[in-house]
Amino acid sequence: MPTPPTFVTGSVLTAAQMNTIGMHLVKAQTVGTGVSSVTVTNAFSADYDNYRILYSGGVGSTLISLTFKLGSSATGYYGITNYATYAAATTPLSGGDNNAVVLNSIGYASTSFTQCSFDVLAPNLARWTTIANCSWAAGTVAGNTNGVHQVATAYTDFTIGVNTGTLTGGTIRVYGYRNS
Amino acid sequence: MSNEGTKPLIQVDDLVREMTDEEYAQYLQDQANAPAPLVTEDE
Repeated sequence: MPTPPTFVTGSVLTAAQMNTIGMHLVKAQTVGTGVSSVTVTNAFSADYDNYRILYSGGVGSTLISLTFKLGSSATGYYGITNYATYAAATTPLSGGDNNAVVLNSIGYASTSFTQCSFDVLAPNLARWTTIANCSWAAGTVAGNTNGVHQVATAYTDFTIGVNTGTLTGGTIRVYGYRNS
Repeated sequence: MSNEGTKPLIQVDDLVREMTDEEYAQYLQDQANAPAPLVTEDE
Protein backbone atom coordinates (compact mmCIF):
# COMPACT_ATOMS: atom_id res chain seq x y z
CA MET A 1 0.00 0.00 0.00
CA PRO A 2 1.57 3.31 -1.04
CA THR A 3 1.98 5.98 1.56
CA PRO A 4 1.44 9.60 0.54
CA PRO A 5 3.20 11.52 -0.83
CA THR A 6 4.98 8.62 -2.55
CA PHE A 7 2.88 6.72 -5.05
CA VAL A 8 3.66 4.17 -7.71
CA THR A 9 2.11 3.59 -11.09
CA GLY A 10 -1.21 1.84 -10.72
CA SER A 11 -1.57 2.61 -7.03
CA VAL A 12 -5.09 2.31 -5.69
CA LEU A 13 -5.72 5.19 -3.33
CA THR A 14 -8.09 4.70 -0.46
CA ALA A 15 -10.33 7.37 0.99
CA ALA A 16 -8.16 7.39 4.10
CA GLN A 17 -5.10 8.10 2.00
CA MET A 18 -6.81 10.78 -0.05
CA ASN A 19 -8.03 12.39 3.16
CA THR A 20 -4.46 12.95 4.25
CA ILE A 21 -3.87 15.40 1.40
CA GLY A 22 -3.37 18.69 3.14
CA MET A 23 -4.20 21.29 0.51
CA HIS A 24 -6.75 21.47 -2.28
CA LEU A 25 -7.20 23.89 -5.17
CA VAL A 26 -10.54 25.55 -4.47
CA LYS A 27 -10.70 27.98 -7.36
CA ALA A 28 -8.56 29.30 -10.20
CA GLN A 29 -9.64 32.62 -11.69
CA THR A 30 -8.10 33.93 -14.88
CA VAL A 31 -7.74 37.70 -14.78
CA GLY A 32 -9.09 39.69 -17.73
CA THR A 33 -7.65 42.66 -19.58
CA GLY A 34 -7.35 46.12 -18.05
CA VAL A 35 -9.35 45.50 -14.89
CA SER A 36 -8.99 47.57 -11.75
CA SER A 37 -10.20 44.82 -9.45
CA VAL A 38 -10.98 41.12 -9.51
CA THR A 39 -13.65 39.68 -7.24
CA VAL A 40 -13.51 35.94 -6.66
CA THR A 41 -16.84 34.63 -5.43
CA ASN A 42 -17.52 31.49 -3.42
CA ALA A 43 -13.86 31.07 -2.58
CA PHE A 44 -14.42 30.56 1.14
CA SER A 45 -16.76 27.98 2.64
CA ALA A 46 -17.26 25.72 5.61
CA ASP A 47 -15.09 23.12 3.87
CA TYR A 48 -11.90 24.84 5.06
CA ASP A 49 -11.03 27.20 7.89
CA ASN A 50 -7.83 28.52 6.27
CA TYR A 51 -6.71 29.37 2.74
CA ARG A 52 -3.74 30.40 0.65
CA ILE A 53 -4.13 32.82 -2.24
CA LEU A 54 -1.62 33.28 -5.07
CA TYR A 55 -1.69 35.69 -7.99
CA SER A 56 0.97 35.34 -10.67
CA GLY A 57 1.47 35.42 -14.42
CA GLY A 58 -0.13 38.79 -15.13
CA VAL A 59 1.11 42.35 -15.58
CA GLY A 60 0.12 45.78 -14.38
CA SER A 61 -0.37 48.90 -16.46
CA THR A 62 2.11 50.65 -14.20
CA LEU A 63 3.65 50.13 -10.79
CA ILE A 64 0.78 48.93 -8.63
CA SER A 65 0.33 48.06 -4.98
CA LEU A 66 -2.31 45.34 -4.64
CA THR A 67 -5.07 45.45 -2.06
CA PHE A 68 -7.32 42.87 -0.41
CA LYS A 69 -10.96 43.16 0.59
CA LEU A 70 -13.34 40.62 2.12
CA GLY A 71 -16.83 40.57 0.61
CA SER A 72 -18.04 44.16 0.39
CA SER A 73 -16.61 45.14 3.77
CA ALA A 74 -14.87 48.52 3.52
CA THR A 75 -13.76 49.06 7.10
CA GLY A 76 -11.71 47.52 9.86
CA TYR A 77 -8.51 46.58 8.05
CA TYR A 78 -5.36 46.87 10.13
CA GLY A 79 -1.91 45.85 8.95
CA ILE A 80 1.80 46.41 9.06
CA THR A 81 4.20 46.16 6.15
CA ASN A 82 7.89 45.74 6.83
CA TYR A 83 10.24 46.10 3.90
CA ALA A 84 13.65 47.24 2.75
CA THR A 85 15.20 48.40 -0.48
CA TYR A 86 17.59 46.13 -2.31
CA ALA A 87 20.12 48.95 -2.42
CA ALA A 88 20.04 49.45 1.36
CA ALA A 89 18.89 46.10 2.61
CA THR A 90 19.93 46.72 6.18
CA THR A 91 17.66 49.73 6.65
CA PRO A 92 14.23 48.55 7.83
CA LEU A 93 11.22 50.51 6.63
CA SER A 94 7.56 50.10 7.39
CA GLY A 95 4.05 51.26 6.54
CA GLY A 96 0.67 50.47 8.00
CA ASP A 97 -3.12 50.40 7.75
CA ASN A 98 -5.13 51.69 10.69
CA ASN A 99 -8.83 50.94 10.19
CA ALA A 100 -8.41 51.21 6.43
CA VAL A 101 -11.03 50.47 3.75
CA VAL A 102 -8.83 47.66 2.36
CA LEU A 103 -5.68 45.86 3.41
CA ASN A 104 -2.92 47.52 1.41
CA SER A 105 0.40 46.23 0.10
CA ILE A 106 -0.57 42.57 -0.09
CA GLY A 107 1.40 42.26 -3.31
CA TYR A 108 2.75 44.13 -6.28
CA ALA A 109 2.35 44.42 -10.01
CA SER A 110 4.38 46.16 -12.67
CA THR A 111 4.61 46.01 -16.43
CA SER A 112 6.71 42.89 -15.88
CA PHE A 113 4.86 40.84 -13.27
CA THR A 114 2.08 40.38 -10.77
CA GLN A 115 2.80 38.83 -7.42
CA CYS A 116 1.06 38.08 -4.20
CA SER A 117 1.07 35.04 -1.95
CA PHE A 118 -0.62 34.98 1.44
CA ASP A 119 -2.65 33.00 3.95
CA VAL A 120 -6.18 33.97 4.94
CA LEU A 121 -7.24 32.51 8.27
CA ALA A 122 -10.89 31.94 9.17
CA PRO A 123 -12.58 34.12 6.52
CA ASN A 124 -15.71 31.96 6.51
CA LEU A 125 -16.06 31.95 10.29
CA ALA A 126 -17.85 34.70 12.20
CA ARG A 127 -14.53 35.80 13.64
CA TRP A 128 -11.88 38.35 12.80
CA THR A 129 -9.98 37.28 9.69
CA THR A 130 -6.20 37.45 9.68
CA ILE A 131 -3.93 37.74 6.67
CA ALA A 132 -0.54 36.18 7.34
CA ASN A 133 2.69 35.27 5.60
CA CYS A 134 2.08 37.82 2.89
CA SER A 135 5.48 38.04 1.28
CA TRP A 136 6.20 40.06 -1.83
CA ALA A 137 9.06 41.35 -3.93
CA ALA A 138 8.77 44.38 -6.20
CA GLY A 139 11.11 46.27 -8.48
CA THR A 140 13.25 47.97 -5.87
CA VAL A 141 12.00 46.66 -2.52
CA ALA A 142 10.82 43.45 -0.91
CA GLY A 143 8.95 42.84 2.29
CA ASN A 144 6.02 41.27 4.03
CA THR A 145 2.61 42.33 5.21
CA ASN A 146 0.49 40.95 8.03
CA GLY A 147 -2.97 42.19 8.84
CA VAL A 148 -6.31 41.63 10.46
CA HIS A 149 -9.85 42.46 9.47
CA GLN A 150 -11.52 43.34 12.74
CA VAL A 151 -15.07 42.49 11.74
CA ALA A 152 -16.54 39.24 13.07
CA THR A 153 -18.43 38.23 9.94
CA ALA A 154 -18.20 35.16 7.69
CA TYR A 155 -17.32 35.86 4.05
CA THR A 156 -17.41 33.80 0.88
CA ASP A 157 -15.88 36.32 -1.56
CA PHE A 158 -12.76 38.44 -1.78
CA THR A 159 -11.42 41.13 -4.09
CA ILE A 160 -7.89 41.83 -5.25
CA GLY A 161 -7.71 45.54 -6.07
CA VAL A 162 -5.15 48.16 -7.04
CA ASN A 163 -3.99 51.47 -5.64
CA THR A 164 -3.78 52.76 -9.21
CA GLY A 165 -3.75 51.46 -12.78
CA THR A 166 -5.10 48.15 -14.01
CA LEU A 167 -4.25 44.48 -14.13
CA THR A 168 -4.11 42.19 -17.14
CA GLY A 169 -3.82 38.45 -17.24
CA GLY A 170 -2.45 35.88 -14.89
CA THR A 171 -4.35 33.62 -12.55
CA ILE A 172 -5.58 33.99 -9.00
CA ARG A 173 -5.51 30.62 -7.32
CA VAL A 174 -7.19 29.82 -4.01
CA TYR A 175 -6.12 26.79 -2.01
CA GLY A 176 -7.84 25.42 1.06
CA TYR A 177 -5.90 23.88 3.95
CA ARG A 178 -7.52 20.66 5.08
CA ASN A 179 -8.99 21.05 8.57
CA SER A 180 -8.26 17.51 9.79
CA MET B 1 -22.96 64.42 -16.44
CA SER B 2 -22.67 60.78 -17.31
CA ASN B 3 -19.37 58.92 -17.09
CA GLU B 4 -20.64 56.35 -19.57
CA GLY B 5 -17.74 54.79 -21.41
CA THR B 6 -15.09 56.27 -19.16
CA LYS B 7 -15.38 54.27 -15.97
CA PRO B 8 -12.78 51.61 -15.13
CA LEU B 9 -13.42 47.94 -15.68
CA ILE B 10 -13.92 45.52 -12.84
CA GLN B 11 -14.07 41.75 -12.90
CA VAL B 12 -16.36 39.45 -10.95
CA ASP B 13 -15.37 35.86 -11.64
CA ASP B 14 -15.38 35.64 -15.45
CA LEU B 15 -17.54 38.74 -16.00
CA VAL B 16 -15.71 41.96 -16.91
CA ARG B 17 -17.81 45.10 -16.88
CA GLU B 18 -17.67 48.83 -16.27
CA MET B 19 -18.17 50.08 -12.77
CA THR B 20 -21.61 51.34 -11.88
CA ASP B 21 -21.92 54.99 -10.87
CA GLU B 22 -21.96 53.95 -7.22
CA GLU B 23 -18.90 51.72 -7.63
CA TYR B 24 -17.09 54.48 -9.50
CA ALA B 25 -17.77 56.99 -6.74
CA GLN B 26 -16.41 54.54 -4.18
CA TYR B 27 -13.42 53.80 -6.43
CA LEU B 28 -12.55 57.49 -6.67
CA GLN B 29 -12.83 57.84 -2.92
CA ASP B 30 -10.64 54.80 -2.35
CA GLN B 31 -8.08 56.08 -4.85
CA ALA B 32 -7.94 59.43 -3.08
CA ASN B 33 -7.25 57.70 0.22
CA ALA B 34 -4.95 54.98 -1.08
CA PRO B 35 -1.37 55.09 0.16
CA ALA B 36 1.38 55.47 -2.38
CA PRO B 37 3.27 52.34 -3.37
CA LEU B 38 6.24 51.58 -1.20
CA VAL B 39 8.42 51.46 -4.28
CA THR B 40 9.11 54.56 -6.31
CA GLU B 41 10.26 53.16 -9.59
CA ASP B 42 9.67 50.16 -11.75
CA GLU B 43 12.41 47.59 -12.38
